[in-house]
Amino acid sequence: MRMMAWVLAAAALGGCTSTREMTAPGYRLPPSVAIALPRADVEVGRISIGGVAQADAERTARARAEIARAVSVYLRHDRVSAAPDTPRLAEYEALHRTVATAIALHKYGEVPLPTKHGRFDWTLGPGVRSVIGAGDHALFLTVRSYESDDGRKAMAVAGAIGCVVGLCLLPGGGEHIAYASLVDLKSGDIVWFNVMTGGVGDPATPAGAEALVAKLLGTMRGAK
Amino acid sequence: MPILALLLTGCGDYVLVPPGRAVGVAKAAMTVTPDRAWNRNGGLGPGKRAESWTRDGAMLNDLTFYGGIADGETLFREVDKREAPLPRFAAGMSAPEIAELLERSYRVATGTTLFALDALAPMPLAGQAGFVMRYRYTLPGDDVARRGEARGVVVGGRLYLLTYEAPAIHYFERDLAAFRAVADSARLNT
Amino acid sequence: MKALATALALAQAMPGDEAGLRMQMDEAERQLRTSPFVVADPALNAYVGGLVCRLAGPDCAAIRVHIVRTPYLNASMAPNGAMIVWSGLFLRTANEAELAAVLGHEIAHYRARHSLRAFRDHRRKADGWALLGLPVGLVAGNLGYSAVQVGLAASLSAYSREMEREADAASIALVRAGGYDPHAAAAIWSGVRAERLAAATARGRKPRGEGGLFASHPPSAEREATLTALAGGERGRDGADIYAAAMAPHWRWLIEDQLRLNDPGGTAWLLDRIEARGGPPDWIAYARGELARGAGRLEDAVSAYRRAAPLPEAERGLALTLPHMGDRAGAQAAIDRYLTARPDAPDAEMLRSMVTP
Repeated sequence: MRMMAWVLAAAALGGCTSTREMTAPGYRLPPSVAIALPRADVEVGRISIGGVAQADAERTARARAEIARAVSVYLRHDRVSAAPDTPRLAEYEALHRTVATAIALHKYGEVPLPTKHGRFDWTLGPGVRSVIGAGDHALFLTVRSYESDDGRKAMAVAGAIGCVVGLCLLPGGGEHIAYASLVDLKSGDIVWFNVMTGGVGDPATPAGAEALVAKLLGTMRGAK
Repeated sequence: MPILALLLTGCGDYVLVPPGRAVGVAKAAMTVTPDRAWNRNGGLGPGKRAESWTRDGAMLNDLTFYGGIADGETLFREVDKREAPLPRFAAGMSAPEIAELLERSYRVATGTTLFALDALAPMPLAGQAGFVMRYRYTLPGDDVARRGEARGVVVGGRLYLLTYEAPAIHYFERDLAAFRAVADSARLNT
Repeated sequence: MKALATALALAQAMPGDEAGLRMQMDEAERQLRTSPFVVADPALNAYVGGLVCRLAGPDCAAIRVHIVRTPYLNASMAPNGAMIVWSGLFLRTANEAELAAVLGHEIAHYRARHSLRAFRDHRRKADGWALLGLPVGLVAGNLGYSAVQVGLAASLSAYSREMEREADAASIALVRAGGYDPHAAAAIWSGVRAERLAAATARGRKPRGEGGLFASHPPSAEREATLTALAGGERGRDGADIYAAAMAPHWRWLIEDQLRLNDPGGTAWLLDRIEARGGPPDWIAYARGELARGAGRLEDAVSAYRRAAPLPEAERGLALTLPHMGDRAGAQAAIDRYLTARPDAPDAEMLRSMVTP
């Protein structure tokens, strides 16, 4: 359901690699800020010719570590620290998924809310501070990166040829969706949010993770 | 019924409900005057006599109006009528029986086993002898603890009900006053 | 079918799929550990976990049982050793032997690595049929493509049914090795059929047909017959007493979850069985009162509630039933008794107001 909302929203974003950010009006990351990083929700794998997605445990673990490393390089080591995994954090992660789904549907998707027109004011509530512990901000990251097998890419080409003769079968390339939200721990407000679709390299490699993080966090003012 | 509303309404457009103005809801069965702006789901409601509003998204705050559920009708649309039919309202039901109807409808429609009544007490609605119900529940596959408050009354053998639901963390308390303003303003168009 | 064979041969092998499936399940299990739907009761977990260990022997260490509060019959096994048991199972297995048969079936899935095989079968066939579907589609149009998709779904279901049959057969061996009555496995399926019939009959319908091209499991009648044949003439212990003792603290919430499903026929059938195997008479009588009240059989409801006395919940049932029969004094007395026993009941304020004129 959650990822489905994002797949729908991604369709609205269009084909190639693209990002679209949402920011609370006038938000800019302060120069001296402590950012807590909860465990990133990452899944990396492959899609076979027939469209069966297969997660890759080893690459997922590597991607999670590489992404965390790339984030702390990008946002500067002295500002970033890992947030401890606790049951109460799990409650906030669940709420965050629900809020992110609402953002996907109502801000990125086809179902805008009139009261949200021209505004970006979703929140987790001020209680999030007691769960994260230290820091001024928390950065939640979700990454789904599924590469297509070569066979499936060939199918996509063949399918496009099919369109010419009146049968459109487009098995698509890989599926890459990532989103990040920066939460102000004083208010619990999501002050910055970005979605990225399309791949920029293999996130299980240092270079791929760096490219992903640079693209995903690239629109955050004051980040660099 | 946020999840149902989402599943059933698909991409129904939301329409602005401005504050301070009386508006007919649930096919004009009731008239309410909200104290702040809401978004009305203009698509297919969760039931033929139901209408849903939200402020931040249906799963973050959901206000549903059930306008005049008649004897023998369900609260919302059947999910699996053959294997898991919803319970039906009966005109002679007392408030505790209506509370059971709401709980069972949610259990059958969503598959949840985590639904608990917190309080049930008399409270007028639209000047008639009604009730207020407070409850908590969690939906499977979501794991977000939610709370709800419902106000209802039976008039002329029909059930008029307003439910407000939101995550227990932050959202429920934050928007409760907005719900109560709507519920306190309700008039029945019988 | 030559095209299919070629396509299947073309589909490439993907190493590491087993680790990938395990990881996804590990993630799911990570969420399960904090899920409010998981039943934490240490005694119940120790009972089910202990039974799994006795049946699984050396595989015991690799299997973790999670009891999930869902009022239907099901259990499942993931490739990483996470076994999920729905709480509705406990109302439907009559004794320890039947519970052992279900757990044994899941252990057999784990040993044969069935979820991995199902995944590989799915991928292999999906890839093969995709290669087949494209040329067929180009020649025969969308209808031809759809036919290929239907073929894929049917083929996957057939494979799934085959693995279910394998696990059924293996479960009999485990049940037997544990010293239990091997007929317990078949008894579950005769129960499933009887409950479905009771549920459908109360709704004025026939039970939905089972089986067919797309069913993931063989029909329960077939499973019952096969399992009976496999069990042969041998009998063993049923462990009914141990099972009843383990379930005794849990009947109340198990019955209440079932009661609130709006399934009067199936619930009545289950109550009869639970009563026959020594379930709690007061809660069973109360539950029958609730069913009768829901169906508008007010006299039956009152007599069932009276049998359940002095259970406070039965007094509440009387308090809700008697007003419909014009007995306001009786309702008032029942409310008084209920609120004396449960002064903090969530509906106390409402009930108090219902009797004051």
